[in-house]
Amino acid sequence: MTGLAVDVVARRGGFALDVRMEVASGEVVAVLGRNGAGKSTLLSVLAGLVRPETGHIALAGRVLTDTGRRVHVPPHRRGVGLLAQDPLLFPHLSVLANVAFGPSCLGASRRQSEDAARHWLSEVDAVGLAGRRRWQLSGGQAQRVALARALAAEPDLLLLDEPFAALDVDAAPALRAMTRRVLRGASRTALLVTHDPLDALVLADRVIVLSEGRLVEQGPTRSVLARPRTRFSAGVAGLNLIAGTAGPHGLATPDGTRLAGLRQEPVTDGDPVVGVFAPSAVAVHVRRPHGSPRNVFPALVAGLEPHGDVIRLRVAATPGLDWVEGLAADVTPAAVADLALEPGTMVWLAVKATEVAVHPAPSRA
Amino acid sequence: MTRLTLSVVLAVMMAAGCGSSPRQGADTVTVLAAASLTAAFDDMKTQFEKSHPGVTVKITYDGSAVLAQQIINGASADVFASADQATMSKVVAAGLTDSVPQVFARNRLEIVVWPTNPKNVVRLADLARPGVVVVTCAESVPCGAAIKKIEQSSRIAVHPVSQETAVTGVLSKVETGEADAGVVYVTDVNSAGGRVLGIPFPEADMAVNDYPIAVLKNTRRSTAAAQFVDFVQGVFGRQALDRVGFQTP
Amino acid sequence: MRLPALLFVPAAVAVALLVLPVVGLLSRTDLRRLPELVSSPAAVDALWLSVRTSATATGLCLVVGVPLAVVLARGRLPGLRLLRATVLLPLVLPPVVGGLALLYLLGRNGFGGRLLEAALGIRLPFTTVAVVLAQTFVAMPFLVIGLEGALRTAGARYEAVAATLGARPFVVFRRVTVPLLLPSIGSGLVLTFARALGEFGATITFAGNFPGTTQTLPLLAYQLAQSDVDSSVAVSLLLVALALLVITLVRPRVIEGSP
Repeated sequence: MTGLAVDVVARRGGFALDVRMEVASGEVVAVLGRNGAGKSTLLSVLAGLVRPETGHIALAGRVLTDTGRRVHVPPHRRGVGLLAQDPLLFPHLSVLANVAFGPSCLGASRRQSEDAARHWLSEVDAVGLAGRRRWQLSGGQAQRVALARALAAEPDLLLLDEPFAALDVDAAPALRAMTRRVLRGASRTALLVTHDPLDALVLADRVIVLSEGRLVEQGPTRSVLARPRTRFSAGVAGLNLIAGTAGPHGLATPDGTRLAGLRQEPVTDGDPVVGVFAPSAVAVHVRRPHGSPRNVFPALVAGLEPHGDVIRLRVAATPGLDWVEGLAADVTPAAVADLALEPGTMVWLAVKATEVAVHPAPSRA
Repeated sequence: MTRLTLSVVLAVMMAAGCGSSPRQGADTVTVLAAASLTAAFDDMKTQFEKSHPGVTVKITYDGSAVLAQQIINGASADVFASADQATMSKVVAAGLTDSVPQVFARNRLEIVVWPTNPKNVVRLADLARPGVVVVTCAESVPCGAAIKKIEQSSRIAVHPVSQETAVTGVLSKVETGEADAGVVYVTDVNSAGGRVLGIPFPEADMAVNDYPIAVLKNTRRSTAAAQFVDFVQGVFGRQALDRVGFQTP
Repeated sequence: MRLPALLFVPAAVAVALLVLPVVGLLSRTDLRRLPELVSSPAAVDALWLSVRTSATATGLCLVVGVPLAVVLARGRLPGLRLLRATVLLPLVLPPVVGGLALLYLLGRNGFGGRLLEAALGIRLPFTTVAVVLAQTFVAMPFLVIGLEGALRTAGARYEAVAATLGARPFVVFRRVTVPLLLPSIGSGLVLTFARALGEFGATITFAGNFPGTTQTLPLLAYQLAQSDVDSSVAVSLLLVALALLVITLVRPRVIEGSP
């Protein structure tokens, strides 16, 4: 394969990272895990900033690290770009010079570098910022420029270390959409460290979950988030996810069911999307409800478990509605008693269209 | 806390201040003397105190100019012994002497070289030879003024690479071998022991340094001070000066 | 922010300690004779020599001190802690002892001095070069220690980013480390220059005292103090004025340059 192949053991203080993974060329993989799970160490090892104790890293057909043969390609020749939570724009350079930094290091002339910089700035809609300095940019603008700067160095692998975590709630969605466009558009190989399942959902083909330095779970984004096998991914995946294609009212599931929802970003009809809603937004009825909820579908109660003050209900699919499998709904203990809910009970789930957020999904998700 | 710290600081400062001002006890004569007199005056102090029971002599050594400045700025002392007349004149001019300064010793210049004399320097003219690295005193220092005078009178131009601000500077440069030769006073050669070799030269007669001594105006121990000045000019004093190379009148 | 009033008392004591001696110097000056004393050929020569040597020493500190600071702050060599301690040495060493140390190394009978004389026919003591070396020796720590601290505080994150953008180590140093360090370099250089300007002990020990060649302003001031205190005070004031000029003119611009 021409993507990324990693098999390393690295130590930092008392902490050990022991990971074996592969990323296909053009694939975006989200790395999830708690603080201290080893996510940042993994990125540092890949970027060449930390030397692993033992192991092997290959990228795009080149060996970057091979402790057995004492190979350690230094950071500047690895072709691995890094976009961190802090944009870290060089304060002594203009935005244009920041973005031109990578190309000029690769040997481009001043003019070529600046042309490349303008191109990448336009890719992130930031051409107008070219003459500014770091302190004249908002957080979101700075992060866009940092993204352009990382891309302008033409890396074979882009590492994104919680790139939206420091941004305002308002700025994050736009930048996420932007990042999605540049990553997916050019089929970039990227590793995305994040806390936010939405990042994984929108940007990643695949998710890996790290815990205490080890890879504990991996798989396609939606299945990991929908059917978490570890406590961490369950915590992350408190949300209900429904995959489908974009339609005029929201999304359509593969079996043709229409789910009404609100688009979070512009998408074209027919594009793959994911509908996201919280278990608390789901109403449970024993008879088909009438009235406002447009999204009503039948399901079978699969299990009941206490979840704080409420009872979390998990459902299984009824014949012909496979995508219902695994959805969660929060109900009060009183309602459980009133409705006589128990595993095997047939119920109707209702969600308001305003509670369903429709996000673009990675094409292969 | 702050007040306490402050009072402690003040107390310490006052104590230090008191300690540093020469306290004139009933039987203490305070003498300010040129640094070149150190060996001779230490010797005299011992003998004077022996022959004058109950009198203590306290001597501060420094450059004559520095001492003169201290006197003019109000340092309380009883006797001043300078290494040259010019410096003494300043104190006289300030009206701070109580007796007419009297010359008690004379000092001559000598050439000083590394003990083995590698450049074979035997006369003053050798110092003008190319390839001989010479250091002298700066003109503002008595030993520098003297060599300048000799140069003018003898028409031998010495080209020093450095004009040291103190005799010790000349000696250390010869001792470390950085300079081939220097010009200092006989007494300095003697105090350097065997680490350097002194070479007398006749032209030194042209600038013999006179050392004057005087009782100072504000003395409270005029009798003891006068006794010390007499002692310096007496037999014992002359012997002590003689031993370290001074000529006595 | 309002400062606690208590701060002003010790601050005032500090100012008094720093400023009053200079006031004392001024009070002793015969202002009518000042222009004449300050413009004497000896004073002008010494001033010019001081400016030239201090500037050269500062330049030398820049060329070798900045790389040293980066090595100390970022290097991963064994024995770096020992090296860090060694850099502090000139700060602790009495300058006269520093001058002797230079003399024993680079003097006529020193190891380095013999080598220089045999190989290049150069003798350092009593030359202007010796003045510059003495000044560099005592002033270097002021630059290196300040810069090392600044580098540690700033961290290596910008350098890491530059490396991932393809910059090889020297390019990182030239295009990221140094520009980011400029304010600290500026203030460090002012300190270095000021220390070189005031240097006395190591200079007189290693380079001697000769007008026009090795007699810098502090040496002249000291020499004059032996005979003519008025002139000495005048020359000292010249030194004070020059130092103030450099510190007030250069420092704020370098430090408060841009946000």
